[in-house]
Amino acid sequence: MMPISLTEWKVELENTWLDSLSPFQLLLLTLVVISTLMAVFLVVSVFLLMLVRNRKKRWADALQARIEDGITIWLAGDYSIQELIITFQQEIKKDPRAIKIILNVIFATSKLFRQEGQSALRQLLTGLNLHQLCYKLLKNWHWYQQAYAIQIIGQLQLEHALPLLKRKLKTKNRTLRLELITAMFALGGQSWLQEMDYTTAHLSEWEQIVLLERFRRLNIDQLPPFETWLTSTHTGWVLFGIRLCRHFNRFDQVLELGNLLTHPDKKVQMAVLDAFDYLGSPEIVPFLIKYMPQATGDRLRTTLRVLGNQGDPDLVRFLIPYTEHPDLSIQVSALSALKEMGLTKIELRQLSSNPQYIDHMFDPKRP
Amino acid sequence: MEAETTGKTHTILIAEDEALVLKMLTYRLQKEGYTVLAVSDGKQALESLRTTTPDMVITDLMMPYHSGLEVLEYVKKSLSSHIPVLVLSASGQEQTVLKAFSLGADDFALKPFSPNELVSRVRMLLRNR
Repeated sequence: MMPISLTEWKVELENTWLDSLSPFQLLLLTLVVISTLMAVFLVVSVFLLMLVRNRKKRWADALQARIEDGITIWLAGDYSIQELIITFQQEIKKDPRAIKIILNVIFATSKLFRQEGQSALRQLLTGLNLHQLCYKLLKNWHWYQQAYAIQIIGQLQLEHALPLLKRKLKTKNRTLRLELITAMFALGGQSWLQEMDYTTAHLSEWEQIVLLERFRRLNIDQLPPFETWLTSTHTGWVLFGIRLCRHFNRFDQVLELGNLLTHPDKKVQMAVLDAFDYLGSPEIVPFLIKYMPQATGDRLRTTLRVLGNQGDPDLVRFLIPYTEHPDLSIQVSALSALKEMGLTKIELRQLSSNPQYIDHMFDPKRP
Repeated sequence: MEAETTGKTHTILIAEDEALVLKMLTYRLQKEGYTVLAVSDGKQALESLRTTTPDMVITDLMMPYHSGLEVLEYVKKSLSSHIPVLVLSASGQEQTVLKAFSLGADDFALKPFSPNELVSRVRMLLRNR
């Protein structure tokens, strides 16, 4: 076959079947050609993007491994901090994206170690001047970047950042506020606490749960002086203080907790009763005896249960009047408490006008 | 170094799924003169224990495939109750600690831990074997 030139081929094409196509068919053909080209372009683009992304990931993984190894060897005492800083600075010079990876590794490592491990990592962070980056991130437009910086500041105990954190406390973003509170507690120094009490009056149940979870991970010496919150003007903080006293077994706070049984908020009273039930110290008894006449419903039932759990036979006389209480559930609570105190089935039957409750209480099939 | 003073290189199996902790402990203990077998999950730990009897085991509690408690139980029941086992855990819950000790754990270290303290504990456990 004789080879033909492009011009000849075009002429041939126009002269033969392109001429025979209607305008509509021509439009359709154009659309098909354009769509095909676009599809090819898209596939190639996706493929190239994947290639670039994989390459980037491989680079990041390799760099992360190098940084981890460097930190590991350094923490084991085989590198001086200067050597490590120079190595990391070279990585940053080669590619500024290394900063983020280095920061991530330092942060992740700091969560795994404490004491000398953590202070060494803080030295490394400041040696690389990355603490300045964290301070800068606090002003970032994205709240999650700010949260990340706050976490690093708290974790690595960058105490100089305390005033910066304090300034952010009025934020309306609840997640940021939680991060701020956690970080500030970790940083210690409670002078900011009073200020926060006024700026962030409300502490929701959800915030309390999250904070409690965070506090559990702190060293004992990093825990805030939560007993001071018992006198706060904000119920949320009082409740949280009570719950923390319960959680951290603060037997020394029984007196302060007992005084809170006169708090106007019934939630606070209930939280104190729960704390007393958990702490179970004999010192709680006078408070409960004094509290019983004014308690109703759930609070009275809980008071009876807590007294019963004390198992002290001397308390029987305080509970007996409640076995004839007009509220049947209170009667049952009083009888159960008396049973806990060691009263026999016969003794309880004599006290109650409803012997079927007593039978039920002693029923071995009762869950 | 410990290994030099005893005249024998102690072999320590470390089972830990947190890569950084594993790397750190491996390096640190190797530097102290110990031979370290490092594995990153419970399955590898049990496989390793079937072929080698280490002088000590350091195990994390929460690991893929088999938990640290299973590894601990295997060491104490199937190998030797004299092999010291140090349990690492992020959870300091009383129940977890009690469970570990009831299965025969010799020591318990809560994460985050101090590397120096951990190495001292290893030294002490091997000395008291």
